[in-house]
Amino acid sequence: MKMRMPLCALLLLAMSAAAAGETLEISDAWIREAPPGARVHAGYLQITNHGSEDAELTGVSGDDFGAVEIHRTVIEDGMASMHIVPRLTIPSGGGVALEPGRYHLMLFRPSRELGAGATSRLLLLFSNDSCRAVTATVRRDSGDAHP
Amino acid sequence: MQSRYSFIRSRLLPGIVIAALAIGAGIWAARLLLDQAVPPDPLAATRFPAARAVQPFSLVDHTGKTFDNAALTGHWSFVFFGYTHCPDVCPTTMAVLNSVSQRLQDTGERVRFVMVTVDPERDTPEKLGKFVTYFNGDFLGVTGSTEALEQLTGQMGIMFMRVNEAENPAGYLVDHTASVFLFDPDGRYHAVFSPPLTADNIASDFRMMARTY
Repeated sequence: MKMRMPLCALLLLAMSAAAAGETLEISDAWIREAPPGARVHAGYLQITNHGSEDAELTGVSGDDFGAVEIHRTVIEDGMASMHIVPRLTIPSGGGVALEPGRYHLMLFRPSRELGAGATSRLLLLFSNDSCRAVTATVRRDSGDAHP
Repeated sequence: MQSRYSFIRSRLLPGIVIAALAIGAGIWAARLLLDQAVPPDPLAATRFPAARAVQPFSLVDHTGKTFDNAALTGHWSFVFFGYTHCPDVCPTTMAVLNSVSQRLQDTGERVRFVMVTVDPERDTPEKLGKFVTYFNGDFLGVTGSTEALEQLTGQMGIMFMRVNEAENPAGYLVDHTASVFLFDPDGRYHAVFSPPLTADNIASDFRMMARTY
């Protein structure tokens, strides 16, 4: 997964907007401002697949992070645990929401202070080797919008 | 002679449109009425038929004060068990609790919000204090030795478990209960809110429980 991410950046440079990746719509990307002392940010976004085939998110990297992983919070019998998700399927004609308490990005080793209002670029690599860049805004979680 | 299709166009279609509009208006009106008439949802929280006494425990809050049974009396306490290295569930829950505290300001009830760490090794009182007060200046962080923590968690059936993931760049994670616990002003274990947690549900449940306390 990590080895493929430089490829993602290269693909991004080489690709035009008309490339295969455009059937995937990425929206509402945001990064939770880390509380003091926390060294890991959580990132959230929505991926909608307008294409006729399922897509798989296979890797994520970020300009401001040493490593990024896709995780899923699982709450079973009241216990919360985190699971690494190596490949996240985005069903054709559907979508996947990465949102608090469910799927999320773990953004490790931030290289700079990311306070509310800052923006940060994330690169998403999909199984068909399409690569998408998205700008995520850092914000403070109000606690009002959760399901 | 009028063809069947033009009949459909001239007579039937407007009739169908009017009927559809009427049905739509009816549904809309019924919804409006129902929204007003339907009583509030039953409690999302699990409230015990009889509040449970809490056996003695002794921990310390982030300001250095003892946090024991007495610290749970004289006010309601919402207690969450989490840790500062937890990037998703804990900040999410703390943000929800902050939203709850805003919503309960007009109740006149004394309410305290507490996060008890399940990671005493890394969560020093200082770190906890910075973490909890980031969400709300009045929030309290509580820690203690693992044994002291288990005096409280054990009797409440709360589990936490360190998960060693060698490849995890953030170090170890802790699996922990995701529920929020409510203690009444007599320091008794009164109710539990299980996920999914929303500020709306917690606040409205609390109002109902406080009214009948």
